[in-house]
Amino acid sequence: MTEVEIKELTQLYQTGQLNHEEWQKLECAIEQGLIDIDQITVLSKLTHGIQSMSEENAPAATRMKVMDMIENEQTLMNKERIVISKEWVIRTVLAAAAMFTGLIIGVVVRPGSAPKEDVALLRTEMVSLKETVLLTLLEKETVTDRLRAVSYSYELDKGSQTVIEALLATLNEDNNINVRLAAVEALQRYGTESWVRVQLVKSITHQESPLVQVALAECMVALKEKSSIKEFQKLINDEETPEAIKSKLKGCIQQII
Amino acid sequence: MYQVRSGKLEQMSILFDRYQGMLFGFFKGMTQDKELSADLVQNVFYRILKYRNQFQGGQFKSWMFHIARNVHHDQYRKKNKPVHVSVDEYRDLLRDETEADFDLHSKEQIQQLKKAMARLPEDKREILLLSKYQEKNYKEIGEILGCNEGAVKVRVFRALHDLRVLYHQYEKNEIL
Repeated sequence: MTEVEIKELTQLYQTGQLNHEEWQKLECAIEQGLIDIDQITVLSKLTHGIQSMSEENAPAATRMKVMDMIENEQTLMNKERIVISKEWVIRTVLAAAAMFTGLIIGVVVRPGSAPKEDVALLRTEMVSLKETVLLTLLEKETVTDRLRAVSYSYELDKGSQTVIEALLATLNEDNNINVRLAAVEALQRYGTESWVRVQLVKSITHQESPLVQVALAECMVALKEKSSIKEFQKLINDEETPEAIKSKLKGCIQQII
Repeated sequence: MYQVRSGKLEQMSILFDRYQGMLFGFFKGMTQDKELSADLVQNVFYRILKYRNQFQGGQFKSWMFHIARNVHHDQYRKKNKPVHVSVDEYRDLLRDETEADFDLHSKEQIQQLKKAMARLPEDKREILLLSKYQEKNYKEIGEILGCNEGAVKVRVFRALHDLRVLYHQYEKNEIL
């Protein structure tokens, strides 16, 4: 396309005299870069006008909100770093403890060697370490970690009050049904303690998931906990409880009685 | 942005200060709603923060406008209707604007241009705003819109043509 043709096309456009064929020619020339839009004076003025439109800042509150957002993200990032390093420390300590235990046991089992109190002390320390791992895992974000934590409780011969309380908190507060179900099962082992049974009974009406309610009902049957009947009755009377669950609960009540 | 991606989140405040005006202008041009535009600016920075690891390099501004378009489309989908204001509402909006560098005549022209812009179909308004904020870098705009440079030029031309028609209608008081 010659310069004369370009000039002619742009002038025809500006005077509004382009026919369909010329319009297509103009668009084609613009697409191929033969004509710069700024060469068309009327459009260039509009472009200039758009560029001249004043620029306004976002309200100050937006800046504050974004800065808060950045700060929160930073805190979250730092927390993750701490958790990772905490986990690393726990693993290292566990590995060292295992090595140390092996060494001591090796010495202790030799006839006429170290006193039994030392072994007992070591066992206590191991239990304490296991508990720490369990409590740390329970606070993790992933469901797998929290399930691991609950199953870790089976490795403890006797749960401490802290561990049981943590499991009860998981039962009442964890947002994952599977974790809560695992917690019911784990807590059943501590059902010989009356205060644990009281807490389990209290948890019945606290639960929204029918699956967890049924799991608790079965747990109560296993523990023969009569005080739970009142709580189950409340669920049975609740209109929102599904019929299948109501009949299951009625069956459980019969078994407890 | 590279520093943000590597974990130096405090650098985000520099990016915010540098680009918030552009984004706010873009969203205000698209929605004619100040409050909503402020929320959308915040959304863009939230996504930048959240997806910082997805930044592959290149022009940050283009990446940011890519996100801005998505944020605007999501908002559009949420409302399920195009955002459009009457000329009277737009006149009210214009009262807040300052065009200190223009004399009365030019100020009126700019206001007419803004009104005409507000009446353009959304895709045309968008390409003109991108053209403004991307400083006519048609290649970058093409990357944002997913088309080639030539196609962008034609789309800008068509949008400017429609704007010209609307602007003249305002000038002749054909649209009040």
